[in-house]
Amino acid sequence: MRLWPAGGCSSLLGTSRTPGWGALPRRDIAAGIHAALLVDALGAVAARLMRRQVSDQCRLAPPDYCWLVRTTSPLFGSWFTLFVSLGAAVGLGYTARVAMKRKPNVEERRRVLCDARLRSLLWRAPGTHTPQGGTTGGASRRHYVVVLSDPLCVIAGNSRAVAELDAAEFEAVTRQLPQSETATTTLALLAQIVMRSASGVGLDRSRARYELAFHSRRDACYDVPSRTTLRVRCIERTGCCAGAVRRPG
Amino acid sequence: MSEQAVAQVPSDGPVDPALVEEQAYAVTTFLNGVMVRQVIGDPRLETAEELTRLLHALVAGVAASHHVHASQV
Repeated sequence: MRLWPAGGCSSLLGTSRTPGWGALPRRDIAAGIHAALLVDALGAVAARLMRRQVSDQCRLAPPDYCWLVRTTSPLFGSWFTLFVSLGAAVGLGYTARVAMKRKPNVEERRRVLCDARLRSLLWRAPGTHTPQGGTTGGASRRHYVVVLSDPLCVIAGNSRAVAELDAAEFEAVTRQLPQSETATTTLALLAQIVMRSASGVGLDRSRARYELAFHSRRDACYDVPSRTTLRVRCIERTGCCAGAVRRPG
Repeated sequence: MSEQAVAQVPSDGPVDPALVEEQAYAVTTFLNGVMVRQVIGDPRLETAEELTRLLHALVAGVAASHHVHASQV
């Protein structure tokens, strides 16, 4: 089975067409691959993967000088694709073939991504609203249903946490500034607070503040009462929760 | 808080509430821009003293502009 279309993987990279099956000696192929890996950092990463995990699963077949790869995961399959494309970019004369490729479990992968996204959505509001449910994968084949409290409550909880931290930061800056400077100008205090929010946890909080501002403006269009329970449907096909929030019924 | 901050800046005449409001708006908007630059990873200012100097210049500039506009009217 060809890994790339008829034009060869080099056509995807904008280089010349790959000649076809291997006419190069094995040592030339190895030298070309080595050179390709040296000039590209991504190739170095692929080489590390090859050395660490899958070196025993790749071999050169003497009759055709083609790669035979037995993949163990979809992730490795993607890395191998990168590896082969780098070799073709330098004009190697072989064509990648997959002798026995494990069928990627797309459903499982999407399920894992979907659950991770839902978990992050559920537990991102510290100490405010405990999630009232969990993922129930059996509800539908194409949907995951999770019962959340009001998304506005989640936003409000995050905003409250950021505001509390900002207040603590403000008090800390006020205590640290000299009394004379505090008395003369509050502009210096504002400048001190702003500059402290440029690094470390302050920068993280600044980013959270702007994210919350955008989310609160966007989610205000839902106009949801504070005690309403919503069902957040996470569409499996996209693995994305955004835009899938609907009122029950 | 911005209004309190700009109200503490020494001025020549009596405090004009409209001027204070205008200065506070300018300071808040400027600080918001500074923080956005920090968030996106493009901070230009290094120290709080530098930012304080810019804020004072901004307040003074808005006051000068306000006075010029008021004299023209």
